[in-house]
Amino acid sequence: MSWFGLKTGKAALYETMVRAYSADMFRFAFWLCRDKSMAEDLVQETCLRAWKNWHNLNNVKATRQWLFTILRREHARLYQASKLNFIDVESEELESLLHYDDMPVVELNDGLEKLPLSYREPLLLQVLGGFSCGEIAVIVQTTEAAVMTRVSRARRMLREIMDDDEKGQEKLK
Amino acid sequence: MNCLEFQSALNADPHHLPLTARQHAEDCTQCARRMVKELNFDASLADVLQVPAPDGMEDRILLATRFNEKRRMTLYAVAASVLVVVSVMFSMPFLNGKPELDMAIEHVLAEPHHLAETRDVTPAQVNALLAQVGARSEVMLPVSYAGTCDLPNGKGGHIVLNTQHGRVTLMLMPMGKSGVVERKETNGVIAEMYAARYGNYSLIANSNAALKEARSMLASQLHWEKSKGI
Repeated sequence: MSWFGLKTGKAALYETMVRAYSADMFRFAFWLCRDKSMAEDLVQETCLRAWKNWHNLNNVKATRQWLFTILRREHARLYQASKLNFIDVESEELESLLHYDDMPVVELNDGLEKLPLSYREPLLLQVLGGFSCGEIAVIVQTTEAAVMTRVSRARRMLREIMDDDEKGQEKLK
Repeated sequence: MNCLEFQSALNADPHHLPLTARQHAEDCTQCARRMVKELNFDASLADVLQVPAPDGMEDRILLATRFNEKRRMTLYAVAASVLVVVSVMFSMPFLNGKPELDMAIEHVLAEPHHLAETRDVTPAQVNALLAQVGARSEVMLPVSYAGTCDLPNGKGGHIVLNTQHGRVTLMLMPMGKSGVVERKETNGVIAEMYAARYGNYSLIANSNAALKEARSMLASQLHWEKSKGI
């Protein structure tokens, strides 16, 4: 991309960044707001902010993490003027319900929608973004332990929601 | 690591299991099976999450960024232009490149007839001119000519004072720069410029004695809006 006929290093890097990460950012944004046009707006706003604040990017290797941090903040700004109100999880049940060999897509979709944002967000960052709990902690500005708890809880809740749906459907039959 | 700890680690992040957890899965068949199921669960979840990005989204983002940048640069350019114009407007009086005392001297030399003529000048006329630089006189000064004149840095006042040593021109420059005191001898005249309440004023005489007398006259007779003066 050229800027006024000049292709600067910053512009080239920015273009690479947009082309490399915008699709991932869009998916994350979509699953946060569940609206395609709003998700695209969020990604665009994120990229514009990134361009304006390029000087704040200290580590180019952490660009993706930085972008997701901005995106999350943009989403929070869109919906809430104040900081997202996360639910503190004090304990965690370790029982895992691992019986979803054939994943029903519709139920999973519904299950995701039912997850509270504070759980859905780190789970999306992990599954979709491929971030580690430590990286997610930086993005959502909390501790790694809190992220681990939220992700575990999210998985468990997701399975429970889907389990209930499955039982409900069986009852209908 | 026991099975409970393994399960905890697995639930938190199946993709970044610590070494001890991976070693545990190698020894524990049940946990190994759980790990596979968890990874399958995540894979299915990832499949569901893979909504396609809108066509041309990247290009639209790049275009929007370029447009924003262009607009930002345009705004900077407009702001810079406005700043330059304002700066030029404020500094117009000082941009002639010529010291203001030289302007005053040139003006006096260009209009020598004012030194010769004698008009009936009223105190109100004199005070109207003096008011331009923030001064007034309670008594009638010995004035033989008083009028406005066009100077390179704006309108000014032109007053000719009678002294015992000859006539002295008082040039009033309300648009001139303030806070400077200058003296110059050139083309057979001696000139001094002083700061006024608004702008400055100059005295131009043919001799030091005349200049000194005029200076004393103004010092004693003029009253300034504030404390500025001779």
